[in-house]
Order: sequence, then C-alpha cells, then structure tokens
Amino acid sequence: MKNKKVSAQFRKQLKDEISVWQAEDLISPEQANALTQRYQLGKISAESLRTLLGVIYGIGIVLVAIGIISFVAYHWMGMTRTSKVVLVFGAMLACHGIGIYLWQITGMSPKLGHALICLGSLIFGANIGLMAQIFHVKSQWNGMFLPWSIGAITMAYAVSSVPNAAMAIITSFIWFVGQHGWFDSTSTSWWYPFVAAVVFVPFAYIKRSEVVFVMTISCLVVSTQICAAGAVDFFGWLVSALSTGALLFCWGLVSYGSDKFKSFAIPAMVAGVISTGLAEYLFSFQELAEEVTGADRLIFGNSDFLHTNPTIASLVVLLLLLPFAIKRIRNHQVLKAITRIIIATLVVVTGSAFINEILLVVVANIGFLVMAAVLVWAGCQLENRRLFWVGVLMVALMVVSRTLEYETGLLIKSAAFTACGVGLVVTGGIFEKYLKRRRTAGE
Amino acid sequence: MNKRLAFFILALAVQVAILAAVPGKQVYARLTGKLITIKTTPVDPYDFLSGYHVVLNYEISRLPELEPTMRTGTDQEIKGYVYVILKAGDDGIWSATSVHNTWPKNVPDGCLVIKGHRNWRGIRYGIESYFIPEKHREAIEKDLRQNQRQAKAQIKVDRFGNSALIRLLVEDRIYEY
Repeated sequence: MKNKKVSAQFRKQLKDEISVWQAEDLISPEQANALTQRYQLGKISAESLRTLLGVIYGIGIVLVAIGIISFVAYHWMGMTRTSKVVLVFGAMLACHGIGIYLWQITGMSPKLGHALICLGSLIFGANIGLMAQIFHVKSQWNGMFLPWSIGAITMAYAVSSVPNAAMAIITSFIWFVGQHGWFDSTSTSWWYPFVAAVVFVPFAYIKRSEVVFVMTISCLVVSTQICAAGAVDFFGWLVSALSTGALLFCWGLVSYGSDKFKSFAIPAMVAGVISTGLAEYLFSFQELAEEVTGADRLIFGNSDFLHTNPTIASLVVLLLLLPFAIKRIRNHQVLKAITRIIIATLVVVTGSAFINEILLVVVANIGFLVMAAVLVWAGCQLENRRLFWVGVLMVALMVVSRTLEYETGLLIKSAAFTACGVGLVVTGGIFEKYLKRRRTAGE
Repeated sequence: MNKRLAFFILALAVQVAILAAVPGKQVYARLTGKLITIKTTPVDPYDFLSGYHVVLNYEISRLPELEPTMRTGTDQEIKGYVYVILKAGDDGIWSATSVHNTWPKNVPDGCLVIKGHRNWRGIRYGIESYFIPEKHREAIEKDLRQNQRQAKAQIKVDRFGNSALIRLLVEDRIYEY
C-alpha cells in the first residue's frame, strides 16, 4: 500500500461499502478487486486477530506480574534462602528463554514470545524487590526502579521491544521523581534528563516508535523542569518550561520535514505549545509572578546549581536546531507564524522576568492572548477545528482567570462570563459558516 | 551464533548481574564478616513490594557527638559516609566509641569499624529493615512492642565496614528468616 497510512476503521468501512457498491453496480468486480488489493482488505481479519492476541497477551502478562508481586510480598515460609534465589532466577530465565524461542528462534508464536519477554522483564523488576527481601536490603522506596529500568532498556535494545522500552522509561522516571521531588536542590539526579535523552531517544528513532517518542519527550521535558524548579524555584521553572517548549516545537518542525519521522512532528509540536502556553498562563497570575525573585535571577546558570544544566543544554540544542527547523518550513505560513510566536515568547517573557514581576505579568498575559489568536488564525487557514477551538478556549480561559483573580464587582464578573459564553457560541457559528464557504468554494 | 541471539544473551546477562548485585555487599558480609550483637529499637511498616518488614533503629544510629552538627549543619556537612568504631561491652553488646569521616587509621585491638551513611535522621548502615513472614507478623510485632528495651540484632561486619543483618533477639527468643 503506497498511499499514506489509513486507519483500521476506514479499511473496515471501505470493505463493507465495496460490497454495497458492487451490489448497486456502482463499481465493477475489477475495480472492487483493485480497491481490495490497494488497501489490503483481505488481511483485515488476520490483523484484527493479531491485535486482539496482543491485547490478550498484554492483559495476561500484567495480571501474571501482579500475581508474582503479591507472591513476593507473601514471603513464603517453607523454602531455604538458596531455593528462593533459584526460583527467582529460574522464573525470569524461563520466561525470557521460552519467549525468545517462540519469538525469534523458531518464530512459532511471535506475539506470545514477545509477551513472555515482557513478562520476564516485569519478573526481573519484582525479583529486585525479592532479592532485597531475601537478604534484608532496604534502600529508599524508589531505589529498585533504576536497576529495573537499566535491565528493561537493555532487553529493549537487544530484542527491539517497544513495551520493554516503555517499561524502562516509566521505571526510570519513577526513580527520578522519588530521587528528586519538587523544589529540592539537594538531589544529585540533575544528570537524569541527559542520560534519558542519550538512552531513550535513539531507541525511538531506531524503532520509529511514536509511543516511545512521546513517552521520552514527556519524560525529558518534565524532568528538566523539575530540575530547574529544584534549583531556582519559580524563575527556574519558567525559563525551563519556555526553553523546553521552544525546543520541542523546533524538534517537531525538523521531524515534520522528514519522511521517516513525520509521525513524531505533531506530538512534539503539541507538547511544545502546551509547555510554552502553560508557562505563560501560570505567570499571568500576579501572585505567582511575584515569586520570581531577584536572587533567583542571579543564581540561574551559576556553576553551583548543576540542576539548571538540563535547561541550559536545551537552550543550546534549540539554537542548533533552529536553522534546520526554519529551513524545513520555509513555505509553510502557519508553522512559521507559530514558530515566531514561540521563540518570541521565550525571549520576551524570560527578558521581562529578568526586569521585574509586573512586566512579567503584563507580557505573559499578552503572550498568551497572542498565541491564542495565532491558533485561531491557524485553525482558519488550515480548516482545522481543533486548533481553532483551542485558541478560542484560551481566550475564554484568560478572561475568566483575570475576572476571578482580581477583585471585581459581581456585575463585572457577570458581564465577563456572559461575554465569554456568547463569544464562544458566536465565534463557533462564524467559524462553521466560514468552513462551509471555503469547502464549497473548494469543490 | 545469530547476532540477535547474542544481544539477547547479553541483555539477559545484564539483568542477572543486576539481580546478583542487589544483595552483593550483604552476601559478602555474611560470608566473611564478624558476628556482633547491637541494641535495637523496632517499628513496623508495611511495604507492598517487599512484604512485611520491621524497621530498626540502633543505639549506634544516633551518636551524641554528631548531634550538634545534625541540628545546625548544612546538607554538605551532614550528608555523607561515616565510619564508626565499635567495641564489645562486658555484656557482649557492641557500642560506638568514636565516629570518623574517613576510615580510621589506628583501630584499637578488639574493635571493628562499621560504615554508615549520615543524614538528617541519623546514621543508616543498610541494616535497618528485617523482612518477616506475614504469618508471624502479629506475634513478632507484639513481642517487639512489649520488650523494646530487650531487643537486639545480630549483624555481620566485613573488613570494609559493610554490614548484613542476620537475626533479631528478644530475650531468649530468636527471629531469623
């Protein structure tokens, strides 16, 4: 199938429709055959069965893993320490061994084999707790998640397994959160975003896995922001949210121009807009903007504050990516406009935060509204309802937030809410008419 | 051998090595360490992943000479490894004689050094948890609560100062799992 990827639902509907079209003599048997070949409609049943099996095996391994964890918690009595250790290693090796045999050695049952290897990695995680229990080792609650992640990602690379990589990302992130916590500058885990980037990003690209990519960028962005917030409180978080947001958007633009990794573009760009928009929205509140202190501004980037390193690194990578990103979207007006807004937000909002908090509040409010306006415009240009409505809702959110934030009379509150409601209905109506007109003109 | 299979075996070896490394220090201390008895005070939480365990505080976990730093010190001053010299008393119970930030040079005869990690709550030696069977939980909990002052732990300490918890002693009753 050389055409772009179509959904399973579309293919199923098409299969049903072809029978109807043939019965109504709308298409000939040859045309029906050509469509069946083009969309590989004959393979739908087998593909559905494979998906169903994957889901069943997935649920099965999760249930078995829960059973094993409960068994670990039971602390069985009648066994010697040696037999426990043998059982621990035996269960894991058996799962992995049978899994690789069924999946890659004989190819008898690839789905079941892969599921067993995932179960093996889950058992590996449970076994870390079990080994600790047998020998009375107890560290911090999150201690077991780092070795679990290392074991899972090694297996993910070895057998090209997306579920193992997903397991590794989740467990490593749990470890990081347990190690760090919000607004904690004493933690030594500032290196986590760097290692996560080096380990997980290549896997997403090698496997072209959108799931791993989305999980990785989420993990990188959140961990970078947690580190910055830990070191430099609110100012650290603001700079980090804006710089990671801009970086993700540019990353999305670079992917957008690539045939192989085009599926990475939208998640990265959406994450970039969310990160930037969230920072602007939060610092549009005066109370929060006042938390940005002069001392924080001075210590950002100070060599004693290693936790700002991931943010500084994201700014450097952003500068390196930006020329490529701009090149890729030379002829795309909408993406060009959003890029300009995101980069301008990074520069102007960070700059105003350096000057004083009142300016920060004003700029954050204006920036948020400008971004909303650009999204509404982009929705109209691309005839995209989602972009349009996100922009409109951002405007409404801003009006409601300001009305509630400042002490206003009930009459003003009432006017603001009514205006927002009427505005939403009216703009929605105008947009739908506009879409209809453009589509009719297009036809 | 198939390249894929070789990578798989390598990944499996990494998982096995990690599992073996988890209790590595404790196994070494159990095999080569000297058995000593120290005073303990237990409490009892529940941990879903690791079953029931008793959390133990030791007499050597809070040392009077470290208290001033604990109260006023910065993170850098408080956190870090410490080396505590232990000596056996007349009753066979070992207690701390001095604490050092580096491995002590002249350890008196008959004494041994145990390595711990200092934080705000005191010194942790990695022997603060003792896992117990669910079936015996209530009986052990009751015994430990009623005889808190009589509770002792037997540990093994190896030549590097690493320790492993072997058993709990409450009067003449022994709990070893």
